[in-house]
Amino acid sequence: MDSVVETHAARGSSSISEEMFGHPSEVSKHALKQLLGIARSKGVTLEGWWTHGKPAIDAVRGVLHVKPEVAGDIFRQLMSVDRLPLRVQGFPLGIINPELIQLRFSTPGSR
Amino acid sequence: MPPAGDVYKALQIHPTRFCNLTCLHCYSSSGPDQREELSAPLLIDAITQAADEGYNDVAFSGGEPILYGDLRRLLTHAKSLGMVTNLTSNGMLLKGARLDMLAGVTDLLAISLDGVPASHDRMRNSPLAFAHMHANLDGVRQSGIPFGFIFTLTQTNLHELKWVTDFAVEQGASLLQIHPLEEVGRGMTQLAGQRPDDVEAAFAYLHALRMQTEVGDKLAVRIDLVDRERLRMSAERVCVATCGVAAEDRPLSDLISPLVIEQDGAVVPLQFGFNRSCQVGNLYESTFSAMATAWKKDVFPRFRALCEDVHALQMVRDDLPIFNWYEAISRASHGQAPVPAASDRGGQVAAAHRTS
Repeated sequence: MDSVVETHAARGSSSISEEMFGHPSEVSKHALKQLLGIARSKGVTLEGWWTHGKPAIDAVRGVLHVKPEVAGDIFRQLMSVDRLPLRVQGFPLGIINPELIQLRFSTPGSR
Repeated sequence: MPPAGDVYKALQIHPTRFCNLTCLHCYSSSGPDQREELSAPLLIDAITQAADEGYNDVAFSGGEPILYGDLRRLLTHAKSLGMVTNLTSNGMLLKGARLDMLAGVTDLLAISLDGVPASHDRMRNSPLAFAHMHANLDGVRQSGIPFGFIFTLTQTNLHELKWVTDFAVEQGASLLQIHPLEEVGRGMTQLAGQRPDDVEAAFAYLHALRMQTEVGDKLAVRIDLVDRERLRMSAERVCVATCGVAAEDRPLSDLISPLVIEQDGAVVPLQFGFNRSCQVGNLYESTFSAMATAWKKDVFPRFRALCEDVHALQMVRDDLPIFNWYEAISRASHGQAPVPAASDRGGQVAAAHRTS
């Protein structure tokens, strides 16, 4: 049986939940899994993970590819996530450039 | 391919645990009374030989690495070998000569930022931590050294991430890195129960994705958590593929990244505090090259089996899919069971906190 996430005042995510999903509500773990699955299926991920105390040098020397149609598709699918009354403006994925956007994170002096 | 990708093969060095602070979450239990330090000649030799083993990224932590007297010497040496250099600092001392010594030899400076000012000061165990760090940021910008912030995620502070993100953008940072608290070191006693569970991790991952799409190319947002489903598809991120080549014939950096040098000379895989039964060796007892050769033959099979076991265990978990790989494998190295998920704690449902 799917359990609803225990959310109480101590959790940092309780106010995030309200912001992302429209109003304070019971958030099912199934719904969280769905959201993650949607992002994953569209290739929207955060790459690279480091140990404590190790800066993510790859992040400031990497290239992020974001497909705007992918972001928009995710947004539409979020509306159908089980039992979550999503607030449209609460999860802005407003990338409007129709072309594939290659965002290069460069820093002064980087090679 | 290591968890952080194929490009950067990292050597993380803790030259000392000497620090001006006693942060509540410190994984190395550093502080003003920790004066032991590794000598520069010892570390220069290690860096040189590590470069021969394919390491191309040297990171300094501690302790507060700014307080290590020969830091510039080590940074300069690493740069002379073509390595990228980076360090983590609490930011309170980044001014004057201590900031100047980083110029020209530092590719990334990561400054700790643990939430809004009051939260940051509480975590840093100092009422002056945020004010002093903030006051130094103008100088950091003027130095031209690329910088970013590292935010420690706990069970109760995810709601501060938006403020931290806005602050990072406003200050001109290149990176916001979110690292989940592990209850190790001082964190084990001072912050028991504060490590983010699978629910907080899932929310944090989604929230970080959201922050990244909002800030666009102004800031790189990273979170040191992994999606279990991605590991299912690419186990080689954590379990070294043999590729038909014997371990003895491969550079050590192919087999372990990050590799960690602790303040007592121990060289361990992946994370500070990893079980010493898997250690590569100790710089006081052997050269880096010699210990690497022996480790590949004698210890790597056991280390690889550990990685495979932890990977296999993670693949059958039914909780939310976002987790801390380094915490999982470090715990396993000590024979500790995985941390139970929120749903495993028998917690029945409670309604969300409702605002009036």
